[in-house]
Amino acid sequence: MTTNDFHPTAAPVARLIEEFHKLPGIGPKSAQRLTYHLVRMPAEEARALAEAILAVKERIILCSQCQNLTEVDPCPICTDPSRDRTILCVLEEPLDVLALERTHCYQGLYHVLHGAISPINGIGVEELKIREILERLRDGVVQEVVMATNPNLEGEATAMYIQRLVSPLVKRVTRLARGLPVGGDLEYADLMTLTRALQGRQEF
Amino acid sequence: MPRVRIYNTEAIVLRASPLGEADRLLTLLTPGIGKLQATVRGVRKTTSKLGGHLDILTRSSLTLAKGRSLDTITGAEAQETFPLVKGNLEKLSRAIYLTDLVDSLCPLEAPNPPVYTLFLDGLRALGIEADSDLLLRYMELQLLSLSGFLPELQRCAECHGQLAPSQHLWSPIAGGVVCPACSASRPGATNLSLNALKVIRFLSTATVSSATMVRVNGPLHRELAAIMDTYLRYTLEREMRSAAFLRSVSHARAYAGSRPSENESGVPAGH
Repeated sequence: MTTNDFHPTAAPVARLIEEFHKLPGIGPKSAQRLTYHLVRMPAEEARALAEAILAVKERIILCSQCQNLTEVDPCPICTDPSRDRTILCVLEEPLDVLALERTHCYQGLYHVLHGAISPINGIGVEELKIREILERLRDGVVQEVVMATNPNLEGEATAMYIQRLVSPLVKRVTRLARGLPVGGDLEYADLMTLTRALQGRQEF
Repeated sequence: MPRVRIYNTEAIVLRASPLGEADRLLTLLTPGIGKLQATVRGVRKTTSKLGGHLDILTRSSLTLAKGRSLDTITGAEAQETFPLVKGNLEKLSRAIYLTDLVDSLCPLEAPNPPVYTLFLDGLRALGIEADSDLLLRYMELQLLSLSGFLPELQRCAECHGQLAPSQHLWSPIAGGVVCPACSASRPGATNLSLNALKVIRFLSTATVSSATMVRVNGPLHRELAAIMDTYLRYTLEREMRSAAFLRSVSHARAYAGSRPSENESGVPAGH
C-alpha cells in the first residue's frame, strides 16, 4: 500500500458519510456531523434508528385506494366510516395529506399523485397516479373533486389536465383558493397572487 | 478590476427543482448571460417574498449575488406572467414544450440574445394565437437556426445539387432535404411534400407575425409536425418528454369530448 492510498477515515465511517450525503438537503459537512454523532451514540439507539429505516422500507406500502403511504391496505383514512365519501381531494405528495389533516377542516377522502406533471424534469402523465383517480370515480359516489396541487406552473398544469379528465365523471371540480398567506406582507405580494386575492375577496 | 458580487438581469424562468429544506434550483434564460443556473432560498415557504415572482414561465427583473459555484437570487420582481398561456391547458402544454426546446438547445452561460427575444415573442404570440401548431413549427425552426442546427432546405444536403420540384425527401441524418439519388445512401429518408417544403422554407425566414398568418390544412399540419419531430429527435438524440405531454393533452381532449375553452383552469368563479 502506497501513502497515496491512505484514507484518514475508517472504511465503515466513510461509507456512512457517503450514504448520508445521498439524502436530500445533506451536504458533505452535515453528512460528516451526523456520522460522527452516530459513532458516539449508544449501540441500542443506533440499532433503533437502523430498524426504523428498515421498517419503513419493508412495511410501508401504497394504499390501493388513495395511494398514500400506509402499513395496512386500505389505509385508516380510506376505511374510516365517518369520512365523507362524496368528496375527493387530489394532492401532490403524502406530506400534503398531513398538512390538510392538521387543519381539521376537511372530512373527505384523499388521492395522492406522487408528484406533479413536469415534462422538463422527466415527469410525465404516466409517472403519476392519475389513472387510479378515474378508477375511483367510476362507481359514481364521489360528487366533488378538489384539486389541491401546488399553486405553481407544474401544479396548475396537473390540475388542469386532471380537471379535463374527471369533469365528465363528477358534478363539481374545484380548486383551492389562492390569495395572501397569513403572516405575509401585502407590498411583497406578486401580481398573480394579488389579482387572485382581489378576485376571490369575500364579504366581511 | 474588482469582481462584481451583485448584479441585475432580466430573466425568464425555464425550470425549477427543489433543493434542501425550502430552496429551489432555477434554470433561467437571460439576454446577456444566456442560460444560467441559480439558487433561491426559502422560496417554497408560503410566506416567501420571492416565490410568486419566480414561477416557471415568468419574466422577472432579478438581483443575483455571485456564489462560488452557483449564484443566489436575492431580489425578484415579476414583469410578465403570461396569464393567457397559463390559463389554458393547450397553450400551457405548448409553452412547456417550447421551454423544454429552449432548455435543450441552449448550453449554459453562452449568451445568445436573439434566442431570448425569440422565446419572449413566442410566448406572447402563444397567448393570443388561436391556432398555435404552426407557431410551434416556426419556433422549432427559428430556435434550430439560432443555435446552428437549421436543416438544409434549399439544396440537397448530401450532394449540394439543385433540387427539382417534387423530387425531394427528408433525411434528418443527412441534415435536411435530399435528392432521390442521394436518399438511397441514407436509410430512413421519408417523403416530403412540396407544400410542406414550401411552408418550412417560409417559416425559417419569416417573422412571428407573418408566420402566424399562414393557414394550412390538417394533413399538412400533421406532416410538418412529423418531419420536425424526426429532425429534433435526431438532433437532440432523445425524445423530449414535453412532446409526449403535448400528445397526452390532445388525448385528454378527445377523452373528455370537449372543445378547448379560453379559461379552463378549473377555478370556480371568484377564486
